[in-house]
Amino acid sequence: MTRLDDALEDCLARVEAGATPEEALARHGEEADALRPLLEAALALRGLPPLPQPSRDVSRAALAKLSAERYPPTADGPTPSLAPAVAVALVVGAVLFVVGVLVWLEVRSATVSPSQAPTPAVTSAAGELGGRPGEALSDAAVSPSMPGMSGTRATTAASAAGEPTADSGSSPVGGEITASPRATLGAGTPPKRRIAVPVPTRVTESAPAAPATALAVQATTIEGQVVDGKGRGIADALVKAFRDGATSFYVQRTDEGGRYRILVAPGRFRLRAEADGHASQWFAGAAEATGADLVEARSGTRRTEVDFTLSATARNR
Amino acid sequence: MLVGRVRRGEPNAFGELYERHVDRVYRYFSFRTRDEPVARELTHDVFVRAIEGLGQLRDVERFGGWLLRIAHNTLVNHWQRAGRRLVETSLESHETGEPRPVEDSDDGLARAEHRLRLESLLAGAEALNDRQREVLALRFAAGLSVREAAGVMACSEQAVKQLQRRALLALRRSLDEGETGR
Repeated sequence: MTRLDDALEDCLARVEAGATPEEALARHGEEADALRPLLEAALALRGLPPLPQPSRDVSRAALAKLSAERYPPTADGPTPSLAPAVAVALVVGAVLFVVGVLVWLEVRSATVSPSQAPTPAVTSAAGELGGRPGEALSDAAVSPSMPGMSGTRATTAASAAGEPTADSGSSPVGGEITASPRATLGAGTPPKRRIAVPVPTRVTESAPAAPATALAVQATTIEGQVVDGKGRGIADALVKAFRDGATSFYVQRTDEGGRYRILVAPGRFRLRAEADGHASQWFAGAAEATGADLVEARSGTRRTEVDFTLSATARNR
Repeated sequence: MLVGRVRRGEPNAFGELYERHVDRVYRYFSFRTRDEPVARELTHDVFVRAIEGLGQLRDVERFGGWLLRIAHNTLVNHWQRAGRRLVETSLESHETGEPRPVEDSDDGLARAEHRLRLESLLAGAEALNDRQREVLALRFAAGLSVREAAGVMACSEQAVKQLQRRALLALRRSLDEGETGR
């Protein structure tokens, strides 16, 4: 039957290249009758409909943000489309730097204390980022970064030479949110539990007198832990948050301790946890979506805790 | 290469990659699950996993096959979680339900007939065994080459050709029986 297999493959390739089925079959003489039903069935299968546009748009937008987090622009040169903007930014930055140095020299010559020099600074607000509140960290840089866990959010990380990084996320709808456990600058050991950031990280690049730019806080987080029947965290579980009345959803993987955090715009959600070797579950304990509780994530609330306990499937016990 | 551009964080590169491959993944799941909401959800999951693993992909030329391997594994996990049920309860099917377009024209009628034929095909595919359905999903729903399908199914190219012929023959018989049985 190898000959018939190869003949079918030849027919498929010819149709793919633009031939009609009959033209493709005509090249295989006696085998054409045997090939025809196979070819017809194969071609019919190619007519499955594509992903509907609404789902496509929602999914692509969320995934593009995730991709941007995971793969920030590399340092080996800007892309052509960004080159003009980067060039303008560099020129403006150079001019500001020169002006700043001139002002600094003038101020210094007027016997002002050296500690007031306009050094580019990253400050930690109200102590949430560790170290001393308001302490300036010189030689700091601001760059896109991958957060501890993946998810549909964009992230900016502020890092200083020799210091751990601090993250601040933004929701898919905009607005800066919370810091992860890694959000510690200056302190040696990160805190053991997550800390919501009442006031977001402020980044200033101008002279000390210039006002800092505060980022608006509009979104909130749903976070918690996925554990097994013995209370042990389940790593790499998927937690999905389905917005009430919408078909899109947020998805997040748990870390080594089974913890997850999903940045969302405020609203009501049904949550579902899935893990290999465990029975999937809708919060709080329902097997089906119809039995799921609605969880309200409010804008005034920093976080909403939702925990799951998944039972092992038979083969995993 | 598009994959390289995504890794370098080029704007819009991921969008291009997604548009180039999303339909083959979605069609694969449509064929295997026969459940549109589940197919949509699993398709999204595949791309989440692909983004996470893209940095480790060595041969970027084989991205298409690699993506469908992720899809295959995602489907296996999905069925394990669902107790091997073919149709899993989904939120959309119970509550929100994405509105379907109203087909009120000749074109709509043609599309409705086309959909009926496809549903007939999908129903006919239920008579096939799992390997046969998998080869049809990879080769014709997802549009993989014989070589790519062989890579996903971990078998030889000749085995794929043989399997697909038998699967198509079984599918055709199933459809014929369905028609004569009406």
